[in-house]
Amino acid sequence: MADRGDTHYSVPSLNRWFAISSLALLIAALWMVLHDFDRPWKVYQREYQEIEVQRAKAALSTPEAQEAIAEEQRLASEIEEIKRSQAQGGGDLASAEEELILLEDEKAKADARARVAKQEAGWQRFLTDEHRVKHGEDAEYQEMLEELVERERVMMETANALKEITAKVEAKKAEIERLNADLEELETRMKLATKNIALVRKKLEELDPTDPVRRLANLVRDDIPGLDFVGPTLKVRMALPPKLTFELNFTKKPRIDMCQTCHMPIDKEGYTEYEQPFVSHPRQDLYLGSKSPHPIGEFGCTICHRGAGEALTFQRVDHRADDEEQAEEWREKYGWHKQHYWDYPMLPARFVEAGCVQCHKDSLEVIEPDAPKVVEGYKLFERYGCYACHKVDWFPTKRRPGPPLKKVLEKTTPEFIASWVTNPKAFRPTTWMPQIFHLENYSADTEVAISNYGTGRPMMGDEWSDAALASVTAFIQSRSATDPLPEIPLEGDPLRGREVFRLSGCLACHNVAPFTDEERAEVDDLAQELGGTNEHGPNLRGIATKVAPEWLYQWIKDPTAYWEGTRMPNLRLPDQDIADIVAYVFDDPDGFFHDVPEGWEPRLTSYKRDVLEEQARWFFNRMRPEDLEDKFQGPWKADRDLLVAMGERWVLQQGCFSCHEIEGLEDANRIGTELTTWGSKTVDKLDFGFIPEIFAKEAGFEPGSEEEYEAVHEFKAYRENFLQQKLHAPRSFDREKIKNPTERLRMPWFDFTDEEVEALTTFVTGLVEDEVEQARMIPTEQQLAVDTGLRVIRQKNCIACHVLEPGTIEFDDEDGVHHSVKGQMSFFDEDSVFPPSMEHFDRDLANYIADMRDYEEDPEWYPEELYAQLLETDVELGETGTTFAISNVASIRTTPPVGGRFVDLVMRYYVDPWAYNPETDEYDICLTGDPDGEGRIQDVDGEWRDFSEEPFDKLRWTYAPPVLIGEGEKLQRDWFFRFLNDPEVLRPQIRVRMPSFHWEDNEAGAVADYFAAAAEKDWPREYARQLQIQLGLTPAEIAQGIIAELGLSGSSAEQVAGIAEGLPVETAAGLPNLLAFGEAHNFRFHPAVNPIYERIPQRTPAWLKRYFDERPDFYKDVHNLVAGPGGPTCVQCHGLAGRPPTNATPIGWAPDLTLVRERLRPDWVRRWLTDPSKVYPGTTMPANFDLGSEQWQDLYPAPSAEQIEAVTTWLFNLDRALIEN
Amino acid sequence: MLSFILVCASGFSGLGAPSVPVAVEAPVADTGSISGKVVWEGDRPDPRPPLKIKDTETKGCIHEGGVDTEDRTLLIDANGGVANVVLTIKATDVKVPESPIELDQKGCRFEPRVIVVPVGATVRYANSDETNHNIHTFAKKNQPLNKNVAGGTHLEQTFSKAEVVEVKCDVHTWMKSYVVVTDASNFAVSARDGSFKIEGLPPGEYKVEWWHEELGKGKTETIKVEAGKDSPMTLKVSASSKKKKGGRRRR
Repeated sequence: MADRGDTHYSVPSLNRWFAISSLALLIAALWMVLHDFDRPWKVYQREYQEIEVQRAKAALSTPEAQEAIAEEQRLASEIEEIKRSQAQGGGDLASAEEELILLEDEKAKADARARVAKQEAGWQRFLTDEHRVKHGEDAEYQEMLEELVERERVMMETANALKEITAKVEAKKAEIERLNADLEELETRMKLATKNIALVRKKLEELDPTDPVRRLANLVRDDIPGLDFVGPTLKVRMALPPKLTFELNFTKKPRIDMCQTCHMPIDKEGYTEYEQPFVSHPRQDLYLGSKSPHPIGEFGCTICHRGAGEALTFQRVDHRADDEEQAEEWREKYGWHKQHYWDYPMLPARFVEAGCVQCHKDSLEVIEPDAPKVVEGYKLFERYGCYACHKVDWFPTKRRPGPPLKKVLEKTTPEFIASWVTNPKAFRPTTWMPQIFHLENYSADTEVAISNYGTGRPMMGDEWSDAALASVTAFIQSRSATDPLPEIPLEGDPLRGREVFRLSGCLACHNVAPFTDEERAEVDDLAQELGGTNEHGPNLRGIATKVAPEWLYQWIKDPTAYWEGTRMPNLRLPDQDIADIVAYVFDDPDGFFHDVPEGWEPRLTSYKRDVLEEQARWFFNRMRPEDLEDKFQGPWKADRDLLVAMGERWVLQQGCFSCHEIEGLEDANRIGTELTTWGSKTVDKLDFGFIPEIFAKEAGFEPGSEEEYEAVHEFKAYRENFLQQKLHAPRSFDREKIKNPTERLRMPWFDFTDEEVEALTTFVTGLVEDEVEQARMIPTEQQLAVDTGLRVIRQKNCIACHVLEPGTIEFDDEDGVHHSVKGQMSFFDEDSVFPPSMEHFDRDLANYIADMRDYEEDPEWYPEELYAQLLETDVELGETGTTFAISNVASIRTTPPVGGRFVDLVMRYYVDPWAYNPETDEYDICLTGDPDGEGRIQDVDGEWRDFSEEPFDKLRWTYAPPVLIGEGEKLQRDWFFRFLNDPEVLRPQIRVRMPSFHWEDNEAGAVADYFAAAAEKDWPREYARQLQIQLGLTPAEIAQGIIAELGLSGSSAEQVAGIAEGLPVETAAGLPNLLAFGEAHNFRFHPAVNPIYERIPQRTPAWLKRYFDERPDFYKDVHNLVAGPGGPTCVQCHGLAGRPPTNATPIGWAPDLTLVRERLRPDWVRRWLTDPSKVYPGTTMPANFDLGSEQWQDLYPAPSAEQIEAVTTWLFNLDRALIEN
Repeated sequence: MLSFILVCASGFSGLGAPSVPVAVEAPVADTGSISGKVVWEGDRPDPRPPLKIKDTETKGCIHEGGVDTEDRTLLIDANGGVANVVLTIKATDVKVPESPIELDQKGCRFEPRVIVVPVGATVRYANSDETNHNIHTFAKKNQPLNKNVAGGTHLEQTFSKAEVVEVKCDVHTWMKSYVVVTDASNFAVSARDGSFKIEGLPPGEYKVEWWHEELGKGKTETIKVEAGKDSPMTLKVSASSKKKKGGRRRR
């Protein structure tokens, strides 16, 4: 349009500007679309595609793939050859195929002809018959009959022709098939040969097509905005765990985890050499893999890791750095910072195990090998008694963690109590009791309060704490019974007491270790070394300065009389033994029990009356001030009364009653925050106090600066920061705060190590709201038995005395092959007094080499080989009990057995009961009660014997606590349960006592179940068997039920259906399906443990009939074999129905044979009788029925295996056999 | 210096156990020998009290005049001769005897107390009693064995590694003996009076290694052996050579 001249603007120039700006807008719009289209995750996916292409190419260039390709080419050329020869040679195949077509055509025609002829013949027959009926057999009828004959002839003819031609077609087909067979076989072989590379090729073709059209197609669907709906290769990938939800603004929404969009190979194996996000999950066996217990489709990612699963950028996902170095790297690379609008940031690697707790509350002990840190946190939570103040509703341990104080004055003095409460670690550095007073929020040099509500003198933290301590002591004293204990009725012998103390089992749970590391390094005595299980009970060093002798006597005699929930068991010691122990502790010949740390002194705390009164004003601030002042002059005039009144306030305020039972305060409320769902608490609900600011200042950030702001906010962004700070310095959140003295933080100081804080933080962070109800692991009864059993075994410290699992030996053989076997290193040589320690093997080996270099006068001497014994059958090295040589001595690595440390202590005592004497620099202090001081030990027959002359193995199997490896296979569950509740004497010569524990609920049952379940390897089979019996269903019916009710389809349905054809139920159906089916039918597997073992078929009439038919005097015959002269003389060592063994020395005694029937399982007895050394290598019991030879034929003529069977049967019927004899 | 060379007549010598005293002539050959006596030096310890064995435990033990209750842990005769000391010399390759070396159980004692067995040789554990015994070897390098041997029968075992193996019968707790498996070519066990003779040594210089169940082990100074001659030697043992208890070596 031309410029009309009546406007103030120029239209052409306006048009120009419009054109320019619209172009600019178009470009901007295009840029926006492109930019929006090119998401950050696509960059990763492209990179990943490149990796995949590289990997595919690499996979195709491996020697195996090359071989397959070569084979493929060879076969292809062969096929080509055959085809070509067929084509050339007149085309056998081609012509045959042509002929077949012709023949089939002919066949179709013949078929039509035959059908027509048949119909015509049929019609003619009808017409003829009809005519005869209507008109009789006239002339026309004769004609018609002729016609019929003719038609039938044609019918026959055409039928024959069809038959002929059909035969020809078949023959031709067969010919073609024959001609094709070679080709087909070649093609099958080719398919097989390329099976492995076919997938790789397919993938490669998809990602990096050779076909230019497909290349273009890929480009279009991945890289052109608006066209990416046509199946792009770059796309968001997500896991949609069906049963998991997420709490969002009071609603539960399904979890969607898009993490795989960038972490593409996370659920694939073998991506180890790349950087994040192109790596496999490190534990495919446990996580994400389809065969793992946590497949990605069911669990996704965020349920364990947390973070924002639906976000698609690094920043929004709320990734979390594990340390400052990583954080710095991320800040630079991604501009990373805390995602402020997300409440559940990802867990950093060091706390990642927190994710396990939500589903594994009932199976924490079971998952320990795979989640050691969080389970350690759980155990610490229990050990330090956190649950006593902080409720966690499902926490299995309920008892008060500290001893009751209702009779504390029987045990110790007010002076001891005062100093102990002031600082428990000053007396016993290893105690779990925390420090309560003199902590930072009542710090010594600050004013805590101004007297008389601000009118008097300022009161310092020290005075404040001292007054509190004095009141607490007075209060505890006032609430403790003071009836004097009876005197010890017997005179004790301290030296004998030492023997009882060392041998009965006290040192299994207690130690007498010196207080400092330096002192401990100098001792050579397992009782004075710390060793895990011997820290179960308190260190007894200095104990004589703490407790009264009368109390100690009563305590050992019956610990539950003083403390019902104590873990200290009753050893059922004779009164004399107890008196001897008490004499040993108080006479203290070894100087253990009066040794206290430097600076320790029990004394009452001094206090100031005006501080006490001031505390009363704060604590009783609801009372009118005049009334309170009246009280000071009246009922609280005596300091003692005011102390007691204030003591009660302090005890209530600080929560002493949570751990200790105190008269009158049994039902007081816990003082700590409930932690059941603490991990779900948002950070804004946590009071960080001024700690973030203080830390930022300490780090040198300018207050008010942006850096300071960032630092403070980052600290406050993570709940774990709060927790770690709280655990390290529980009262630090009061720092710089002005607070009413009675309202200050109260959590005591435990002096946790960094590792303990990390473990506890992991555990508590894992306590979240239950969002996983449906996906939560529902343990099977077997798993539950194992979990509870493991917990009880830990709490009762069974592993102090009993080996639950043998140690491991790793070594390389002469061919460089690595072996890892269960076993024990053998004695280095005949001069060794003990076998080398599996825990400190390197130390012992070094000592041995040093000794031998001296002896051989050869500074280069080195063992040519060492020996070890298998404690579990190894496929390559042999059966249990086999001794084998290791020639590559330097490659040996050992792991100690699980449990049994106390066995070492017992063995030390029997083999070498001498202590180091610094005065003579010799080991000449006799540790036994031997009155002659010659190291002899009193045996149960009263004789003093020098056991050091007996072989080590013999002592180990006779005088040390038994190993419990595979004990569930050995013992009948019910007997075990009874034994745990009321131990009976099996081997009277053992000085170590199996304690009588104080079991709560079904703890003893859980332990018995644990062993039975742990030994039961084919539990699903038993489950399936019980299911059939209880529901009265055949396996086929179970199969139908599972398919129909669980809606199985496809291959899994086929597999289950196979049960009807004889596949075993338990493997064909799979345990999860069986459990689901069982649950749907209200089937409970009771008892938890396989009852198959409790059936003793040896006692059934049918079983016995076999024996009595053959030998009317069966019982008598076996009795002669077992007990008569000329036989294996079992009764020389074994008692029989209360008759003691004929052996006079206790070292030759073994359990009474009458115990077998109720105690042992028949399969185990059979195994034991066959070759005891394969069950317990080193045992005294010989192989009495050698399978390699026939013995005792005059007593019981039968092969050895039958003799074993007969003896087993006799043992399980011993009650009957004895009546008969 | 010893004035006579006599191998003692009891069953206590190591190999072959000659049944009559034999005065050994100096062999006229290309080998020499070392002979002498193991003697106790210093105050003699009190003889150990006899073993406490009850009649109920000894049914079927065939022995005239009841079971021998002598404690054979450390035997020192009136002249100070120490029995059952094993003396070995590694001079040549080990010679494996063709027939098994016998360890008998007789009168509910092992006879002899100690046998020396070259590596590769077989031991025949016999039972001359009527009662059942078991052979329990506490081997650390060879395969351990714990099987019974019915009265009048026997067991055999071949040893492939050199070590001292304690052998016990668990049925009769006092029964104890030692099988010294050695990779030495020449050896002897001191007789009741402490005397021994190691024969068949090629000329040369040797150190004799010795071992005793209670006294431990040791080596002598170098001794020269000449062809056709006997080199005399006296091995002095004392309470200070007694095997030390554990503790300080922690192994």
